[in-house]
Amino acid sequence: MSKVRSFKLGLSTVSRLWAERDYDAALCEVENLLNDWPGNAHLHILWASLVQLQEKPKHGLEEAKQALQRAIDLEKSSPSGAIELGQFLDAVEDSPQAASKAYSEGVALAREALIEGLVGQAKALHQLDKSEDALRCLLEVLHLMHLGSTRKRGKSENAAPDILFGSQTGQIFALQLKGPFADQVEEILNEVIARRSPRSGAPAAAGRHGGF
Amino acid sequence: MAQDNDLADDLIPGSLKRSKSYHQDYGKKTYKEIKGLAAANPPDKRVRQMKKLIEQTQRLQQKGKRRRS
Repeated sequence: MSKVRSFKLGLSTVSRLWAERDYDAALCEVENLLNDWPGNAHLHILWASLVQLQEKPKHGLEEAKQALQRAIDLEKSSPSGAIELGQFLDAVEDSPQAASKAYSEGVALAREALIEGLVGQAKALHQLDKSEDALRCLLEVLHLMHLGSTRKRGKSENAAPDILFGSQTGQIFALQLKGPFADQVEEILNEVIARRSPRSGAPAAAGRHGGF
Repeated sequence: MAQDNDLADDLIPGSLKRSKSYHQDYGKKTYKEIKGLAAANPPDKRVRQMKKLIEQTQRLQQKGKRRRS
């Protein structure tokens, strides 16, 4: 059996044992998988979760916390480890302040992944001539970028926002495009609006210092 | 899923009973009693901690079920 197939089979066994509430056996299976895949962050998260569920624990809660921190170190771009650590810090250690910091890191990573997915989806929809659907994805991107922008704006920045956009609740937001996806968002936004404008009467472009 | 009549001690696994948030004197209270006491104003810190342990257990148990679906 190939290593990948045996890994998938192992994960499926873990899921079955977990659902049957046989946490000791599930933990044993995760430990077997970790022997072959020590760098797999997901396995460390599973391990930490199962340790907490054991009736007769063989590991301490501090070890569970360390496993979560290891998962974060192993997969720095994934939000799962940070969010799971947040849950642990709040529920097990009753430390909402530390939990809030971990959640904040996890949420930022999740937001970035979602933005990347939505920008990709908008590009694909645009190629399929589905401008309205592409625009919906981009509006969600702008909303997420707005939520993620916490930096205080200077006077000159306030005078000239890059984008004005309306949320689904009807509020109007001003947003300066920045971050790793800013250029891509501006480019696809301009393309989508340019294609859409002859039919809908929308502005020809909504790039920097524009709006829609 | 935790039921209102379940005792805290039956809902919190042995592992989480080693947390500083676990308080044995609330172990015989039902989940419903714990929720009620945690909602009091001002809330009892120890009850609130017990409630969080129960809900963490529930969440982790459900995680296994979600993985199967």
